[in-house]
Amino acid sequence: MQKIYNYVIVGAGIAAVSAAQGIRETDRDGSILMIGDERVPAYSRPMLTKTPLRSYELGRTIVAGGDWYREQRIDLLLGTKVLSIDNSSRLVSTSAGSYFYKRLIYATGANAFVPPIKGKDLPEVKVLRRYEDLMEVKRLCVDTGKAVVIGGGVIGLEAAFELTRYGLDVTVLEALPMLMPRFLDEECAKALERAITSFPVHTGVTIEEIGGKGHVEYVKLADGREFPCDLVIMSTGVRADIALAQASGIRCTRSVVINEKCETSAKDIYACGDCAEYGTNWQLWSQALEQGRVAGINAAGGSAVIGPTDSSMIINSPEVSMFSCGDVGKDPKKRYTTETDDNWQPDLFAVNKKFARYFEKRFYADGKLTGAIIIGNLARMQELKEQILGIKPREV
Amino acid sequence: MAFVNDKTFLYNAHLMRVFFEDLKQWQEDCIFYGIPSEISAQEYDDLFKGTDADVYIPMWASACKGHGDILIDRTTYDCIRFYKSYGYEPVYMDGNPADFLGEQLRFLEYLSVCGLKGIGNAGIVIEMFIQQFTLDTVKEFCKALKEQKAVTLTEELELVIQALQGIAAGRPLALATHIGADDFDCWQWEKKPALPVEEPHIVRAAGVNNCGGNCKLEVWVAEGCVLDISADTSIGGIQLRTCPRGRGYRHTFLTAHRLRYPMKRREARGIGKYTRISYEEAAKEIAAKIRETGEKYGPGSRYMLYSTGVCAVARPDHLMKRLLCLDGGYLQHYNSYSSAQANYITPYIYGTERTCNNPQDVMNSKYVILWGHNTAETIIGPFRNYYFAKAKEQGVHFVVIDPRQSESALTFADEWVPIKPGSDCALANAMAFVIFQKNLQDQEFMNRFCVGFDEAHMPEGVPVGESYKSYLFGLQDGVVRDPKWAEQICGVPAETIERLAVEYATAKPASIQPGLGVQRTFIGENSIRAIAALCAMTGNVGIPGGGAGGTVTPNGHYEAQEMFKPENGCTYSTPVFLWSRIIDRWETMTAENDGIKGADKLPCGIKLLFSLASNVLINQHADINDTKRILSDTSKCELIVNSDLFYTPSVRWSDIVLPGASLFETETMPSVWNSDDYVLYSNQCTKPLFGSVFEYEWIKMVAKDMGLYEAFTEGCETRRDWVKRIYEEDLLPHEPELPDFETFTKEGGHMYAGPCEEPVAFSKQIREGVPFNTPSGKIEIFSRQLYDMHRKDISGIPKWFDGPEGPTDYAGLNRYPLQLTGYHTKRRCHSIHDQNQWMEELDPPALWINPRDAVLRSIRSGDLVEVYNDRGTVRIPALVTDRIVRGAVAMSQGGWYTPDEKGVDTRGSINVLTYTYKASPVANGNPQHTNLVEVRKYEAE
Repeated sequence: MQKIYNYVIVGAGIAAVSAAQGIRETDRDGSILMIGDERVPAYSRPMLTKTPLRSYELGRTIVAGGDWYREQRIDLLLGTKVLSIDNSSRLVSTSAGSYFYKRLIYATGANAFVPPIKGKDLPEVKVLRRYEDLMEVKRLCVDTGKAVVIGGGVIGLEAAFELTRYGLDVTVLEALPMLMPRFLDEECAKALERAITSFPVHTGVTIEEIGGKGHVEYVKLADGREFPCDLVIMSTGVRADIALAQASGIRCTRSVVINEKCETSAKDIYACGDCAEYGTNWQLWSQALEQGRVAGINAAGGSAVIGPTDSSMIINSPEVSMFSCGDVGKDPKKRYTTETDDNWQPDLFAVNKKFARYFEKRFYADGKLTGAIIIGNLARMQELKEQILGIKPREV
Repeated sequence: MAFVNDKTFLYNAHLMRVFFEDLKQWQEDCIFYGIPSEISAQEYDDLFKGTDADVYIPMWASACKGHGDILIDRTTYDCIRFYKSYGYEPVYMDGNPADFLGEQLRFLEYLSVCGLKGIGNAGIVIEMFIQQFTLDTVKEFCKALKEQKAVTLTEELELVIQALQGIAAGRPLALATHIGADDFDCWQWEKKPALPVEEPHIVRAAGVNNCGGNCKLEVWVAEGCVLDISADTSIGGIQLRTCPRGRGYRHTFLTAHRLRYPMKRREARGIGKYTRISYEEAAKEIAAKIRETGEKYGPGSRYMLYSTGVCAVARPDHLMKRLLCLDGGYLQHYNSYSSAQANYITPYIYGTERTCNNPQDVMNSKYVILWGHNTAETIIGPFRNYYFAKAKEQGVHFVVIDPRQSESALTFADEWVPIKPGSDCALANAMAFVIFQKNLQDQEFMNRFCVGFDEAHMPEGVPVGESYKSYLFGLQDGVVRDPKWAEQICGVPAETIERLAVEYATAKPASIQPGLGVQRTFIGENSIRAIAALCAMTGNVGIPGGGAGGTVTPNGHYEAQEMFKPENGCTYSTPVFLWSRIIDRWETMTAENDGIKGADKLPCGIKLLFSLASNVLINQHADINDTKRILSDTSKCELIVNSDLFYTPSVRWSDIVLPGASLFETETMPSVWNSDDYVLYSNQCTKPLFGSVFEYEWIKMVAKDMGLYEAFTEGCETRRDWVKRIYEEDLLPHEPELPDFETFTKEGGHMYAGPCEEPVAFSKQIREGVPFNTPSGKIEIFSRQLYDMHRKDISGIPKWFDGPEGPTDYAGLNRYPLQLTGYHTKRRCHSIHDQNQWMEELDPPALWINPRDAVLRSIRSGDLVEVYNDRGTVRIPALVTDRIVRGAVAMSQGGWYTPDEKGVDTRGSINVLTYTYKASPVANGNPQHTNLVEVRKYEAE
């Protein structure tokens, strides 16, 4: 006898949990089923690379404990694959059985993208998207001495810091000519590179292959340079998990297309989080949190629209910190002026001199502050965020 | 799933468990497995039992999980909870904490056996446990093992590494199995039901270091793990809160660098290599040496080195002294390293040491001079800073006189007067001159209560011209001790000296509070006397809001010290500062030159030296390189017995090393400094780590070996028994307000209802005319006793004189033009906490140097510099700041002596540069704040 749920949520990450919260805010009684393919309930994905490897404890980053799901009367299925969504019959088929739904929330998130580099299938080539990935990497690191991180984005750099702290020799390879061109300008990217001293960063490189006889032994560039290593971390972005949506005829581009109410092209199906796109799909925690809530409220018959997104990028490591928020001169239609505070060699008496220094650049267009970048001490971060975004960003 | 629970996994876990648990068994098993095992017991101990001072291999999950090298913390607790939820009771192998790698492997073995017997979801649990604990432990262990410089990795150790990594990574080694699992002991193990786990709860403890701010610790404990320390919120209305040092106690006392087992030196002193022995063996050897030295040389050949690691009742050195007295005695010392000059000389002025007013009295002052007194960093009682701050709020004017603009200066001072180290007597002389010259003295007070200030008030029979006034006005030698004269010596501008004198003399009441920095110089006695003279001259002695100068010891509540010692058969004593001289050349020492009391010469040197909870041997005593020379000759001092918690520099120079128990691992009543208005009890939080014990345990063994057990213990089997006896028989009778012992220990202490009878020192003398306890019955600005000694640098009145390595040692300054002074830093208590990673942030090693001295030497802040003189060299980063007077440099005391291959200290151990060749003239005290050095920028070769 197949069970009927008022709401089925495909996915069990932060967007899903936020959606469940949104539902319960609006509908105290409707039954909720949440289906996740990871073996563990929702946890903080950002903390995977923002925590030292040695002290990482999944339990400390779990978003909601077992009690919460029980109290909210959410049926939680973990380690379960969703096989198909049939919207005409309102049926979801999974590896653990099939379920009817009245409303469905699609929150499958995104998967790590691995470009087709030769050697990418060697056993020591890893991504860092899931908790399991982190444990795999730790197991591989039990002896390994050298790692190459491919991808100099936030996650790639954070991974590099933590692997270095864990005792490995790390090298970061970035294909683009500068680090994080979406969030930094050339001057700030140079400042960031200069600030990173615990591992080398090579930009503008093309990778030819990951080589080795059955195991990772080196990474080779098109220009002939070779980096010996025992572990490769691929940090080359994520792709929205849209396979199920596409198969069931929901309209997708690279992500599931939603409107400001998180409605998809299919009736009674909502989408939110890393898998969904309203305007820009930033694939950020804060966006998933916001969209999840909106999807949940609307699915439950309430009314909500997606608010502005806090799209700021932050790296926070003992060696160097970085903050970038808003439009940092990237709109070709605008004319920008900038202001720079270079406090990299601070004069003042600081208990911890390393943490006093910072390099801050502010971007203005039409007399308004549009964006800002800080490399170093992030004390001014909150203030700048509020000025740029015009709101107090929602806390996780 | 990466983990397959099968026999291969079990064999690996078992084999590795045996490696950590039982070396002999491991070697037998190796034969079966065809593994070549050649590791010797000594090599094994050096790597895994802590017998080599330079080897550290972390083997506990807590130390490997990235929260610092700390033991028995939250990680350990989580590990124990994990064990117990699966019915496993930890066995604490060789005293190791429960998250020891060997124990983890034993647990995995247990799970594996359960799994093979078909019980539960062993595979998943094994994976979870490894992920949470074993992965990181194995990683750090293997990394450290590979990085040990002293060890070449044999095939055997390589195999151990591979096997451990295999277990951790889910790919256990394939082992040839000639013996079946039936032969393993673990096959007898049964799955047990979950065991109850102790919940976190508070145990009331207290600090026992040499800190005046004895604080209450609310220690969160569970399953013998120390999870956290909270500050006091419980007693009365005033809180005894910990400072950062107290909050960081776990990072000091519970680090994985603790000494683990009793050991005996196996190479030359100073090398740091030991062999593990048993307590019985240690006790036997110590007992034999006590008897031998007593018979061969006499009781004076046994010495207890000055120690302040455990400032509490029934402390290790007191217990051992008690035993020595039962066998004829030991060489006693007088003075301390803290307050020798002040405490020795003050009775000559006032007839007592207790000259300090209760801290609250500062509220009654109008004007306060903190003279070389840095209470913000050296906590002189927990209430002092509180009342200083309150007084400041109410508008009391504070002046700080100090070579450094200390944190006290920053916090309290309306004015900082920079002064050259050791020149305080000259400044005080000049201030007295100004007061007399302008007739600002309280003549009536002086006439009634003082002798020696002018010719009309001198004792009988003293020649004319010996009064203080005559000295100040140059009536005897033509030198007028006015501000201009003093300025040349102390560096304080003459106008400032005059102004200070007038301000002090006209503010009524005004309080000069000298700290212990002032007296720890070559001229400490006279500095204190000159300051006391100022207090007496202005009538500020014995009145509320005033101050007598002198010491920092107030008239307070009773301090329990009694150890019920039998008579000491050695009837002479020596200054505490001269122990290394006694070892080196006791035959040359005399009562007159070296302060021996009770004998003209010494009948023998020190042959047996005890260092119990002390780091004086090599670190806190002056002239480290010379002391090393003396200790290197084992025919002089034949045996050094040391008990401590870590491989301190002193431990490395000792022969028998016993691992002690930290404050968390024993119980006692801390000694409250200066008889402050409270008493604390520190309850035991956990059992001693590894094989350590509180010293009483092995001292009892020594007593037993000597046939003195009953006489020594007198029925007190435990330390608690002694503390109870002392509390009931010594403390309670003096302070009847205190509760019974059980209540006292449960509460963690007691706050006295009010200050003692006389919160203002000498109020009885001033109000009621009770005589001072001096020969004249008055305040002796001129002391007949001192005058009659007729010795160089000992004068009837507080005269300035030129002394070795002081500000007027021009010959010395020609070679070493900078004065070096030490200071107490807030990040340590003497040398305690030097290894604490938290505290390093507060005040990392630095040599304070004035910009004008730095620029002449091309030194900028952060540059590595070498500070040196004839006695040695210290390499340390420079801090260029105008918070240090020009012409002087400052380095905090207590940094651990860490010599490189060339003998240059690389940490910042000031006593490489201090001297022992001359003690202070009257007290024979330590002049450790007056030294001459030069500083150069360090150029690496």
